[in-house]
Amino acid sequence: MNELTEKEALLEGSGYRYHFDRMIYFNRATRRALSLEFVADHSFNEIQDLVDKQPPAANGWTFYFNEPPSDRIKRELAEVLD
Amino acid sequence: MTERTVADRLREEYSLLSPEVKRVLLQLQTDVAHLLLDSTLGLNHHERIHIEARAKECDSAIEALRRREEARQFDEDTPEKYTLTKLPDLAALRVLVFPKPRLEEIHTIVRSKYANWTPDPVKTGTPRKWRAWKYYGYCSTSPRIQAEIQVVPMLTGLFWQVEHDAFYKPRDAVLRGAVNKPIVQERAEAVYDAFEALEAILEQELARNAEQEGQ
Repeated sequence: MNELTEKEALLEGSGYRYHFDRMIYFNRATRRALSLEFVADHSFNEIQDLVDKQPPAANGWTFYFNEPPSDRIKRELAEVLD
Repeated sequence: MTERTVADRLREEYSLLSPEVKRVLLQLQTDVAHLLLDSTLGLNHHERIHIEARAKECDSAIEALRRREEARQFDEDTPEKYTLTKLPDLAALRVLVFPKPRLEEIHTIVRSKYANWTPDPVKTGTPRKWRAWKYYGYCSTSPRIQAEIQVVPMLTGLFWQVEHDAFYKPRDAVLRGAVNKPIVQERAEAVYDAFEALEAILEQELARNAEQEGQ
């Protein structure tokens, strides 16, 4: 297994699903979404820390992207993921 | 009135660029075929040089631009930042070569004419492994349409055709994006490695056969 595959296994083992069309990992329970680029560019430990972190109290989705998405993109993605 | 989406604007841009893309492709295909004429005529019976040309289709071009965005989502609030002229391969040529020693030779010939084009070799896997030569730039026909040339080991190139049809052009949305999933990429790497090993052994056997015939 290479590192990226290990990160994928970690995410999928933590309840994340891969969205084939959007190429993001998302978890409806914690309402978090990570882009494939973000996962590729961060270490296994960083992804582990993020997965272990308590989700924010707010109801909305939290997006972990290399380039922070605009409000409109967040809104449209939230509609896709909900 | 219905809002024009980024994709609508890009479709309009595509129709305006399309004749220019075709001219670039015609120039590129003719130039490279001419450049490789001597090598093509000098091939041994088991050797192959195959030139494929393609103009990116409208939907593929829009999808390629979309794939550059995280979460594959255009920001509809900033449509002006998207243009198909940013794509390096609206016109593209793929030169498939067999066997590997010919590959080096063909690459050297092609590269000599397009020496000022930007190199962007195809590397895959972790750690990154070289899979094919690739460079992009402008032909004299057009200052705004970027063209790409790939010089690729034939077995790898043929696999890419199958992979492309299966993963990039599926009508089933669930399959789209599968090619970038790490576990799928890891398996694809094993296929590339197998092709390289096959080419290496074929090369070895062909050399042995040539030696025996020379005796």
